[in-house]
Amino acid sequence: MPEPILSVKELYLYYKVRAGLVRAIDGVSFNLHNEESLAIIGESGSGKSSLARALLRLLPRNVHRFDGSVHIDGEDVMKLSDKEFDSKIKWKKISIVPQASMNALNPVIKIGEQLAEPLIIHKNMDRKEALDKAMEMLKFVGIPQEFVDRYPFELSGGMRQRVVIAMALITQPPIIVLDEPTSALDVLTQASIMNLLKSIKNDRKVSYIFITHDIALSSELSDNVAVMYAGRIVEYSYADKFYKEPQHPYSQLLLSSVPTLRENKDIKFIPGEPPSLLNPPPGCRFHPRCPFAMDVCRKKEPPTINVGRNSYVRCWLYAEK
Amino acid sequence: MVPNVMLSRHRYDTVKRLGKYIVMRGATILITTIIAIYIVILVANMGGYVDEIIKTEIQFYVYETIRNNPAYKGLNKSTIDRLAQEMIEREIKRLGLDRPFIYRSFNYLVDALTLNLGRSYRLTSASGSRQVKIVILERLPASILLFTSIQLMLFFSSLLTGLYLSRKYGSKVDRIIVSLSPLSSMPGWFYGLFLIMIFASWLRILPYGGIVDAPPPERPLLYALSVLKHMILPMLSWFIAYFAINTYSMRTFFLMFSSEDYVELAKAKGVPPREIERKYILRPTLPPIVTQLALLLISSWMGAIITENIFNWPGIGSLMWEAIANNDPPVMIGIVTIYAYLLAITVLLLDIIYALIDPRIKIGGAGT
Amino acid sequence: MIRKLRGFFRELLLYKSALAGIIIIASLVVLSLYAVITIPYEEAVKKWNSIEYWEGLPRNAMPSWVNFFTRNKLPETIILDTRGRGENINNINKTIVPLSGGKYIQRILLTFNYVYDDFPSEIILRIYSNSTKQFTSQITWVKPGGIEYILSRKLLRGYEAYYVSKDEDFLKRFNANLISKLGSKPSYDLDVVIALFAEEESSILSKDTVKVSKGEYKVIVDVLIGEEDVNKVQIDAKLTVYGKVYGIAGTDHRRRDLVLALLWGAPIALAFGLTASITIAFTQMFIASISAWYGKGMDFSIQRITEIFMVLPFLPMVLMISYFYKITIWRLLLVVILLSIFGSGVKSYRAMFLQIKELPYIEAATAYGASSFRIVLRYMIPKILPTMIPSIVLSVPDFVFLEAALALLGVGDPQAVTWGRVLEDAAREAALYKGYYYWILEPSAFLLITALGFAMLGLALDKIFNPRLREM
Repeated sequence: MPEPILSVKELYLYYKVRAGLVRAIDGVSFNLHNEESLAIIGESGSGKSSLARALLRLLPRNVHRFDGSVHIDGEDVMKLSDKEFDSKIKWKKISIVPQASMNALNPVIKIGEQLAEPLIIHKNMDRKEALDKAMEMLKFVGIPQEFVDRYPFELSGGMRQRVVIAMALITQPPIIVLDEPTSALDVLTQASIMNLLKSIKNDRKVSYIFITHDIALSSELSDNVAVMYAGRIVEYSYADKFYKEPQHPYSQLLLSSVPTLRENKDIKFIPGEPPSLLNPPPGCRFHPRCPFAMDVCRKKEPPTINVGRNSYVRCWLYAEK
Repeated sequence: MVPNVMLSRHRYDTVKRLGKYIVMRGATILITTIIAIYIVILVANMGGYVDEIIKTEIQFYVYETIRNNPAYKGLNKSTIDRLAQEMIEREIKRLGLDRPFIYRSFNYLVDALTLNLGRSYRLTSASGSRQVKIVILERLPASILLFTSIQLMLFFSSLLTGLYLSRKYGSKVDRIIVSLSPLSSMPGWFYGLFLIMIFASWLRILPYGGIVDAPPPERPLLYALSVLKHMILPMLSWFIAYFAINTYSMRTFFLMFSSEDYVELAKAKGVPPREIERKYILRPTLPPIVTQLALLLISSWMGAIITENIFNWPGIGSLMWEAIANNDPPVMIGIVTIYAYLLAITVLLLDIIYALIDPRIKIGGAGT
Repeated sequence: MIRKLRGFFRELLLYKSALAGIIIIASLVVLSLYAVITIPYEEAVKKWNSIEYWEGLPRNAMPSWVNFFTRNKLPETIILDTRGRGENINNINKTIVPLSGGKYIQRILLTFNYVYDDFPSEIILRIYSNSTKQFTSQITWVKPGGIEYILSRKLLRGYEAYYVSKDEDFLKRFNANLISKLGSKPSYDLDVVIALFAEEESSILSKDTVKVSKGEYKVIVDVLIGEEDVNKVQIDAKLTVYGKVYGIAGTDHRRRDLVLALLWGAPIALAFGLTASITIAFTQMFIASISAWYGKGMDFSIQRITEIFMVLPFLPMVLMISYFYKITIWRLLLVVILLSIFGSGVKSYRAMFLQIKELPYIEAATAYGASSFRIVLRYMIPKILPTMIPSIVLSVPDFVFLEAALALLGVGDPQAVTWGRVLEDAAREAALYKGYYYWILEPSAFLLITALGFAMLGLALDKIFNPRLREM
């Protein structure tokens, strides 16, 4: 097995709010290899967005704890200062496509300029060269080249998202984090964006971290799957295995709640509400909603249990005595 | 690069749209100004009541003159009355009071709009002229000097501090400024009273009021220094009153804009903080900030009446007050007209500048 | 609903500034209630504008608690009234002294003890007779140690007021006497009060060393009457030795106890500020809602009207109207309200309403046929109300200061009993030049505290109700 391009071990992120301490990332570990697409699935408030942004060191205010080890290309980036991280890692080793919002692009600066910006900052190109590259990139993501002189508000939501994707690609970083890249788009646009992402992966040999709450969508673009719940990864598995035989009760409930076109199955839903990251339940965080909850689940946190080649689950059901 | 044909077509559309926009705004503003000035004319003349007061005073004045004039001694009553009538009528005609007010009000309106501000009823300028224009222009520089300095000082200090604070949200400095904001519930002139009490009455190191020492120094340098010395207390009073709240709103303003998604993305891209501040925070916020400054400047030239009164500052504010106290509508109307014009022009200019810098207006709502 | 209110209050009280603000406002309300209950409005106005009511008070006296802080004790007012309206009844003596030739002297002897370190401000002796006949009277002053001066002779018919401290004749005589006694002139201009109360030795010659002679003072009023009047004519006298301190707040140039104005200023300020603030906010909001909801022509005209009002200069207009029409404070309130309702608040409320109008549930309401009135009233306005509350509270001080400013400029209600009026009197009488700091400080302090109270509460409310400011 070649070295992973991204290796995260025991990452923690806690931050303070008026009401208390939010444990957004509570001991997360995973690996990402070259040209691999890892889907991270979870509900809102599971910490997945915090994880995405933490990888780029985009931290909230009032950070209380941020430690663990994050190795990118062999280098421990947690040891770098902010300035070093800015210049060596951001957009050079890892970039992010944020949630599809109306607001990801600066409204008063032309698209071309914004696209060219990372090249000017990180690749030391001059403006003309960078703008040329920007136009190439626009073409690559399927936007007419003359839009380089347009402003963001002149584009539709889908086009804006393409621009943002182009922006994440333009410096050719090996890792791209996709934080719910299609959640604000209509279904048709979503499909075209997903196609674009797939072709990029094939073309450019990048690794994705694809964060979403939409399980069906994740199946389109995942080699491996990690399920996040209450700031932790509760199941990690390779895609084929996951979608057919999910191990963790939560994953099982998630998959059975997806309606299918051809089968006439009973739609199950998950009772209860998402756990509070301020005051997580004791023991296994999922136990209040778990149909298989046992006594030990209420008291002790389940360990990480290997259940096969490159897959593990954190659930007492799988603990051997 | 980009095909020329498409560019020029794009440009032509933009220019046409801009042009239409400007004309529409200009017309609306003009009508608004006209109506506002007319209302002021009506109020300043109290719908003709001032005329009655003045007529009575003319009568009184004429009889007094006749009585005191030795040349008219010994004339019998009817002759005196006739003489008085003549003089009164002449005076009334001179002031144009013989025609009914409603007609005159429209004449006033036209005069005001063409900036033909006429002559005052009572007030005179220091140079002795009764021309309203001269009376006003003589006092305008004092207000502009003082209040432009005040507004610029407040603007830049609160902008820079607000920007700094938005970066250091929650820090001690931040909390200190926020806790000082109740200071702004009191107007500048109120602090002025106290400052005069402390620095002029008790410590005796700064003057009570006025713009320059009496007698004024001859040498220009000393004169300027004396003026500066007199500006200290008024500026200080406004600073204490408005610095905290202005900084607070600038800080809030910048905070709101700093949490925008595109700022987050810029940070993710590794854009250096200085550039983020310039391109991603300041540039989008510039239009509303500049508008605010321009409007503040204009309204400040009206001269805060009370502040000028308390500090005895010979500007437009105290002139307006004198005009009211002396029943002098032409001066009142003159001041308000000039102010209305300045305001209208500024608003129009700002609209144009906005349209030019904010691409959303320039290109019009395509795709929004 | 109650629970929501309780939760809201708990959150509000988390802010210390809000707590302070509430305490201040509550105290003002209590003060106002006290004022309104103990002295009804008309009575307060009447008293404030009368002259006789304050007759016995000194002019421009400082508050009496000042004496706690100074070594030199400033005098309080001493009143001796033969008609029994003073305290010192024991120090009043009336006798009849027979003279030759069927004439008698009605002698009134007034005695008082003077223990203060500073001179009185004024001395007035009032003599009353119940007859229409004219009598001559002679007034003698006796200092401690027995030094006697005949102050003056006055003709008395019914009533005579003798302004002792303004008696220039006596002063001339006294100065001459002093020169012959001490051999030199005083280095400053004496006044009668100093003459009557100072130690008559070398210390009197310099203003820095002049001392008050402490001890027992006597004032003798002798009235010459005929035999026939002895049992019929009654002579009374009232001696007022005006002090330099009075009461909790001191007095102004018309001898008025400032406590009255300070007390009554509170309810007026509160009423003025709150009425203006609430009325204007609600009217603006209402106008904006109509403008936003009905759109098109209505919107266009309302916006234009608003712009016209924004061009009109507010303060000069208010000044013009109040100057020309000589209005009362309540009509002033009306004028201020009328001039403000089409102000800039309309534009910002309208922007909010336009946003709300786009919300799905409004669309739903229109779809099921709710009337415009119902939608505006029950769905749109409740959404705006929370954001209005902080700005209402925050704008109260502005109106309170507006009234004070108008009073300061001299166009306020001349009869009104407000803090602004006191400030105006003080400013007009050049209180700062003359060193009457308390006169300016007291109303200013009240204005300041009122403003701070509302501001602190308002800013805390702003943090709660303005969602964007909350957990940023």
